[in-house]
Amino acid sequence: MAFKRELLKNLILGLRARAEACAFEDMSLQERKRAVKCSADVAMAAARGAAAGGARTRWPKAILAAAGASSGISPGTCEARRSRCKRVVRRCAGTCMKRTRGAYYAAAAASSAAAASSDVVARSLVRRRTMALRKVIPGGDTARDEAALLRETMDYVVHLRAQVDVLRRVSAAVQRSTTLRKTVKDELKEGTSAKPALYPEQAPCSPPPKSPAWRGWRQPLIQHCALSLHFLVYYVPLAPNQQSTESETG
Amino acid sequence: MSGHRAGRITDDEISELISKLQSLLPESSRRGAAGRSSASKLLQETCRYIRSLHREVDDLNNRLSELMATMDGDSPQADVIRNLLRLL
Repeated sequence: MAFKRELLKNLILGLRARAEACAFEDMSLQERKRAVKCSADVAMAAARGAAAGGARTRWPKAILAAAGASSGISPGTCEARRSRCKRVVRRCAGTCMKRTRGAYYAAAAASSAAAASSDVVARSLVRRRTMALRKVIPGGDTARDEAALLRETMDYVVHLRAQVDVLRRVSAAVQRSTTLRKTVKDELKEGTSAKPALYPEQAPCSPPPKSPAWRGWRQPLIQHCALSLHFLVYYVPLAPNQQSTESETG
Repeated sequence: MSGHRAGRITDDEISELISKLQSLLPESSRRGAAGRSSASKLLQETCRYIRSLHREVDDLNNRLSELMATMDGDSPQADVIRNLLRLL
């Protein structure tokens, strides 16, 4: 729970910082996607690094190092950042895909080697799979042995799932907010002269509100803010096996 | 797997880690395995699962980036975010 909260905070702060540097609506689609992806990954890595036991894991440092390399020293324009991110993303994606494909082909070749004993084949297969796993886990290349790699993997899987959950909820909240604003705007367009039904009739002696439409717009928004706040405490409690793993790795 | 490092890491330790990893994978990945899966199968399933999680994250990021474009900088959105941050 604390990890998700930290992740959410980092994500919102990261997105706001990016929006201040370059408004999202001014970015191209690819720039926006990269900005959001980078923010989400950095948010996850930073939250894990700050949590208990985070210093023992490698994958957060690997993610932050990659993000630092892509951000560069000079702030640059959106375009410059885009080209840097593109290079890093292409390099990582290309390397991962090539090596993973290679690992699978090598595994298939190893398994069809009839002359080798089954034990040697099994060991070779496990070695290939382990190599593939190293490519998929950030910083997996630097894990010193299989035990460390497996521990990194378990830690990474748990926190990756948490990232998925947080992103899902944030998307849903922003979606609701966007829909709500659109609904309110449509209502404003349709009925600006009538008093909103949300408020009771004013007493005859009190002055009429300056803008009834404004009050009608605020009430649903205040309700929505309350809903948005509630979604923070609305996280589904972690399942027992996830909780025990987190407490082990935490 | 740990033949040349028998002094440092025991097979038992590796087996224990592998069974813990197995418990993390979704149920559907464990089909057909009455007891333990082979280590290589489990590692393969883990790679697949992580890649599927990556795809899910990418989809959600793309969705969020589309929504961010429609979210302009007017005060209601800033209010929502400020309220969220205040709780944190």
